[in-house]
Amino acid sequence: MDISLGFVLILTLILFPGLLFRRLYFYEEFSKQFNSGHNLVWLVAVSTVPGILILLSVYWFYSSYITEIDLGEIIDKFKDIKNPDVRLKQTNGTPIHLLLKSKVAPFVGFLYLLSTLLGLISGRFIRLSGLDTRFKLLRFKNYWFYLFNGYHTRFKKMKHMKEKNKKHVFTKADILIDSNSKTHLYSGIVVDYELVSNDCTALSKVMLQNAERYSLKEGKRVPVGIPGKILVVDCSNMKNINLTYIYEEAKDILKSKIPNKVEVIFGLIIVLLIPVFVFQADAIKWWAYKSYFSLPWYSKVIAYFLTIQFISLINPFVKKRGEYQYVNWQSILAKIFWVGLMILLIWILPKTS
Amino acid sequence: MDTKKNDTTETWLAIILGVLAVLLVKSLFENDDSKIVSKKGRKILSDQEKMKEVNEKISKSEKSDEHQEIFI
Repeated sequence: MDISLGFVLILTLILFPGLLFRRLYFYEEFSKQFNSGHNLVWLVAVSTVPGILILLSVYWFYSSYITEIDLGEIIDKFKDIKNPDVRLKQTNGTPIHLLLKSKVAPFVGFLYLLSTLLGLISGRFIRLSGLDTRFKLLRFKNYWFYLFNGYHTRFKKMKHMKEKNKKHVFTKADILIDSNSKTHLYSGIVVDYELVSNDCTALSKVMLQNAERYSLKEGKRVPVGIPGKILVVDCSNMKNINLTYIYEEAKDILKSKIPNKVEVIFGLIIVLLIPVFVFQADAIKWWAYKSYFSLPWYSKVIAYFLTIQFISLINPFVKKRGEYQYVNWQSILAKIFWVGLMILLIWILPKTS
Repeated sequence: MDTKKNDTTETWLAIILGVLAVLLVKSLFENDDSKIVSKKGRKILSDQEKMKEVNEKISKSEKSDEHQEIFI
């Protein structure tokens, strides 16, 4: 089989990073969406879009902030490789192994690292921020996830079902199965489920705890307990499913999901600040910004922690022994003390590296 | 924008901040609350007495004509 160099390039720089991103974007409950119901051609086609976007952004970032990429040199080398008259050993300029080692490998490594990180973070961010429930475009195809978790009430079409001050605990399911033209009704608490491997929208199995089946006694349908810890219901012949949601009162904001979300947002801000503190943008002319980059490395670390402390001053929640509490005056004073100490350290320590 | 060449100290700075980034990404993973059964739910499911109480509430709700949310 003759594989052209161009194909290898597209595979390495666009398709593999795109596939890697997609594989990690659809995490855990949504992992089947990666290849569900689609052939290899479709998979390659949909991975091309994120692949191109990642390549362009990484190229811009790498070239602007890390080291400039001389595209001319790389293209010339490619022309040399493709030209049968050229003997690479006799050509002048950088030898091919050095070019691969010093320029190509670091860039490709950075490309794969960012594809991995973006894939890992973006899928989870979409889920945790609730953007998937707000925008249909970002919604995962595993509709059962939203139904079993009670998140469907956040959908625009089902918002009328939403009630404030309640927190989902678990879901009880009544599943009607058609078997040899006889119907069987099973019910129990949904603890897990499986989707059909080539169709991520269809239920394959549902695992029920505290399961019961219904049987007719004197014309009445009565529940009969099923021995065993978990009942696995095969849903290939499922007729319908009735879901009952069990909630707990969420009176206190501290026991709601808000402190958790605030923590995630603060965490993301701190991560996003890192490149700002590492790479200097010449377009920013602020005096404080320019002074920061003339500081020695230890002062830069202190300045970063100082900024984190400043930002954390506006976080009203604190986690103690796994439970959220409001920040008390002692904590605020402690933070102010640390801020003061860090300002003092930056002031005392030598200003130039 | 001019390209800045990182010196050794800046590399160390990037490594320290990189470690911090990994820890924060880890916290993003740990804060994933997309679970079918909540923490309280798991406790209730392993408590026979509580489950009896829940089952009673569910059957009461199923028998009543009006749809009622079940709170525990």
